[in-house]
Amino acid sequence: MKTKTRTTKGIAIVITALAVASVAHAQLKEPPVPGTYYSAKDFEWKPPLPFNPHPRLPVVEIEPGKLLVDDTGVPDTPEQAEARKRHEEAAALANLIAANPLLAEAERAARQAAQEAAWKANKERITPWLVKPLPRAGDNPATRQTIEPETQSRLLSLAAYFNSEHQGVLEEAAKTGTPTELVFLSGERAVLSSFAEGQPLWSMSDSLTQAVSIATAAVWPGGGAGLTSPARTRPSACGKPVASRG
Amino acid sequence: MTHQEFQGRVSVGDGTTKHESHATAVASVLNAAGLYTIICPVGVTNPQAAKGMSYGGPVISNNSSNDVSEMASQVATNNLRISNHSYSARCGWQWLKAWVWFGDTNVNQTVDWKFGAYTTEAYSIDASAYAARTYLPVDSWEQWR
Repeated sequence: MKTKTRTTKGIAIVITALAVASVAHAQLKEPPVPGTYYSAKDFEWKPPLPFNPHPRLPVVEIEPGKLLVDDTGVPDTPEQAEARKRHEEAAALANLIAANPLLAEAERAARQAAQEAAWKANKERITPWLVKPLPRAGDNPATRQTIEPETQSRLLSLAAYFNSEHQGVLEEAAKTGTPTELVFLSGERAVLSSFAEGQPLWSMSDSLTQAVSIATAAVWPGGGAGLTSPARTRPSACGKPVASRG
Repeated sequence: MTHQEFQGRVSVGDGTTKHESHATAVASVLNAAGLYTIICPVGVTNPQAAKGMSYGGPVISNNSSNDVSEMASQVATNNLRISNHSYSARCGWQWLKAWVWFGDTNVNQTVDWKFGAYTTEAYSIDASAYAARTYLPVDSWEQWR
């Protein structure tokens, strides 16, 4: 029993000593030097970091706040090796192009052709979803107003679908005993528009309180109605007839 | 239908027989002939100031029920060019001579999910507007914030 107590006490003393030593070590250790850390190996093209990525390697302050880490002995990762290879190839090509105007022009033309090909491929990819341009036969307004058979057919099928949805709303209202119209104390009415998650959505007019908060800032001059606007954002009694929302 | 500002240019699109002052006012902004003389500014008589934006055009009047279906079908069959829908799904608390709660307390006791929601109705109107390139619906759906 005595032996056990001694052993426990011994372990506690060791743990305490380790904890005190680690605190003392942490207090003695110098805090990291704030600044921007550059790589000595890739000084020219590797972006600097706001911390030292290799705290154990030597660091030299080359300018106030600008520190150079001697990472020349750190081997490249496969990704870094690939990046270095591509960077060197690009640099060599840039030098070559700079030395030869013909090559520079050929390179520019090749890049332009590649860009145009990419745009063309992209346009072909999205063509099925694009709305076709309006027909402008003879630039005749009457022609432009004509609904194309394809559009008409699409709209009629949409109308039929929306109508079936509306009939579904009416059926659900009848089934659940939900009225299709509410009249409030103010005399205003709300119309059942749909159900969302079983709860009715009620539609009501947006009018007076919304209308007073808008105004016409400008109107075209010289109109037959003779309206003018002081180009202000405050509501104007004369501006009322051209308000866009009732 | 017999209003002097519309001069028989209004027809009913969905068989509704109810009239409403708000809808009439909106129609006047769009299509009033401008016969009513307005004195504005004070002392200046402006005989045509009540003119609507398209004062000679026809108006198709509908109630708001089943509107998304009627919008698509009237664009397809009547070549409807512009429509106005100054109504929307009510959200949260509204004062209607008494406070009325339009939210869903099963979802939240204090906040209504419908504020800013992109509802099925809003989607349906967008679908019609996208399909009809000569049609401009002006809608106040889901403007509540």
